[in-house]
Amino acid sequence: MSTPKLETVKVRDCIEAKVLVAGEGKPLVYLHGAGGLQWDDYLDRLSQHYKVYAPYHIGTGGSVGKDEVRDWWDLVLYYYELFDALGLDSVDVIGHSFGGMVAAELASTNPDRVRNLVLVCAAGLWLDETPVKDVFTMLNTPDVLFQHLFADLNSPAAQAFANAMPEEHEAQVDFIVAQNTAAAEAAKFMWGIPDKGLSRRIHRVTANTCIIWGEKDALIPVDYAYEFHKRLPGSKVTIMEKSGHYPQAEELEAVLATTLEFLQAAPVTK
Amino acid sequence: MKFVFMNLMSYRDLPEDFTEKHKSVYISIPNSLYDPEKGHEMYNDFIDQYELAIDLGFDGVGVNEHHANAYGMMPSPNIIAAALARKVRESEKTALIVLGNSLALYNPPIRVAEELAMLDNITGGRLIAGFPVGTSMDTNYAYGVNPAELRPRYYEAHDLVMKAWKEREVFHFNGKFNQHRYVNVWTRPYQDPHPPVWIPGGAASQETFDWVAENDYQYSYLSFYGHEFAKDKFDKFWKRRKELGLDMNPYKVGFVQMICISETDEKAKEEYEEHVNYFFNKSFHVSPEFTEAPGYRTEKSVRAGLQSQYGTESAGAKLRAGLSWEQMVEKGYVIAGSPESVVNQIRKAIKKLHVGHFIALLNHGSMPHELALKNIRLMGEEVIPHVRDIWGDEYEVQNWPKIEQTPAVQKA
Repeated sequence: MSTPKLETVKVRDCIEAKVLVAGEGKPLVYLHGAGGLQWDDYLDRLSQHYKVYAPYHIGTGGSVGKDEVRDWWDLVLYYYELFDALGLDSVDVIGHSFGGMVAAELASTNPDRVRNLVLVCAAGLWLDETPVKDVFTMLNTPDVLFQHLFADLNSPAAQAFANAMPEEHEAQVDFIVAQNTAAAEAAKFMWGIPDKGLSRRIHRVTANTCIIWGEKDALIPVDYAYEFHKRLPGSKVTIMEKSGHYPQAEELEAVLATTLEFLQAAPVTK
Repeated sequence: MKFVFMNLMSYRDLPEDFTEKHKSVYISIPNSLYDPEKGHEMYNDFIDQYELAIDLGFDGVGVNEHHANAYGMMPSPNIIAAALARKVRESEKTALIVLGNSLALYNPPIRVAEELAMLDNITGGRLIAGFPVGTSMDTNYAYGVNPAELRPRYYEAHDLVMKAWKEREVFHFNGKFNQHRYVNVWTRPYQDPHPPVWIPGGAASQETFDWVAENDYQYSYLSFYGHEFAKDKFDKFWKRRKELGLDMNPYKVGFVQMICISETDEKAKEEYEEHVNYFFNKSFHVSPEFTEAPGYRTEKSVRAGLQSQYGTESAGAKLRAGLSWEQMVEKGYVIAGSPESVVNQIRKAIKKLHVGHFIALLNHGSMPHELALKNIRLMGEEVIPHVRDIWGDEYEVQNWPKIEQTPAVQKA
């Protein structure tokens, strides 16, 4: 796997973003979920075709200025300013889980900024009859969390996740603190019910959209794939039958192929 | 030395198989387990227990706030405080301590300033106002406050309440979370400018110590794990006060302790063991799901907690689990025995921690009303008189209302 470059991007006074960057070519932004940013095979393979920008969510990865980004609208404006700072006018965006919630909002609020949108097991909508699980209650019980993330707990992807904890004590402390901080900073924007009004704005989206979901997603059930599809006419839906909440890990090749095919085929303008 | 009786008011009749059938006493406990007939009896028993403590001359009675649980049945401490306020007023010297209102849960927080001012007026200036942040279960889960906003909301609400008590003119308040064109707390507190303020908490962080010192508040360390577990927190507190160049007045801190008194040490075990076990095993059966939302503590505190075995309350729970009665007494989780042996244990704990405000928990878990009354009576009659003078005249009593021994308002 290639090593991405960690770039510090000054967004404005008092705010510095940390962004992992790799690859050459057309820009592609990836917004990670509440588990924090890991440079995984999916990002690595995407960077063979695109210049991938994967920003750490504000408040994680050494970024500065989280107190300036207090609420949902601050976060939306922060991303537009980060895009400005990176010279991204209208860009392709992939968002996973919490990152999908942000990506969908960026495409709704100012449709000019997102050209092609890929939502992977995205949060942001709410169905009373099929509530999104409260992932934040699972942080103190890693086994329960693990069972909700993967469809096949014995798959190499699941096992890699399960064994990610370092052995040495200090490294372990760092690992747990980073995980807790990633969840805390996402929880800041998702707390309680992760529906911050996207359903009232999603009709504004003009981006071509591809929805990718794990059939066995135990956190954000697959019903939400169809709900997004319903609200985004013309969107493409691909369900990964052997995946849970991390299809890009559990069915890497298929998710990668779907992503690339969509991004490369999507018309440039609409 | 000041002795306060606090009643957690645990629901005392959870089913035998509660812990097997239910994951948590907090948040997810179905309220079908609550029997209103029994609840009616319990509330009145609990209030009777408070009234006995007032009659026995306890220096204070304390109430606190918890939500969505069978561990402490006081979602609104101010309601229990109001039920006690008249009796407090008529007592010789008892103070009323609301230990207190979790500020971030009140919208607008002005409500706290108003209700506490009412209580202060009814009691004729005998109120102590406690402002805890509150547990993660209560604040983030039961009341849905965003953990990232909990502390900023708490501090802002504190500023608003204190200003509302101090200002003598209508003012505006443009906060991050509270915007008010007109703030006017009418009635204002009986004590001028406001009641003494206590900050109850369980984290014992230096940030809290410094903030408490800056405002000259009292810090109350609330934990159920007793004086031995509390030792390093109090050491840190006094070390910090020295570093800040402040005095060592023990009335700058309060401390909570579970106490079980009977005729003999053996009898104490016989009478209380089952109820203390009920408390730790059932009343405190909290699912790890709800113990702490991400963001409830700062990153720094999370790191510190991972590095110290005494760091957090869950560390306390782990250390206590599986201990026998004798071990719980030996390690100070519970102070128990004959009045004489309780006097000795309390004296040691007070000296060791250097505390002036001792908050006695005397009604635990499933204790029947009669046993609670006995415990309170023995504490009031046979223990407090022997430990009251621990600090003698060495230190001035601080952070306590100036109580005139005759009630402020005479009965007609």
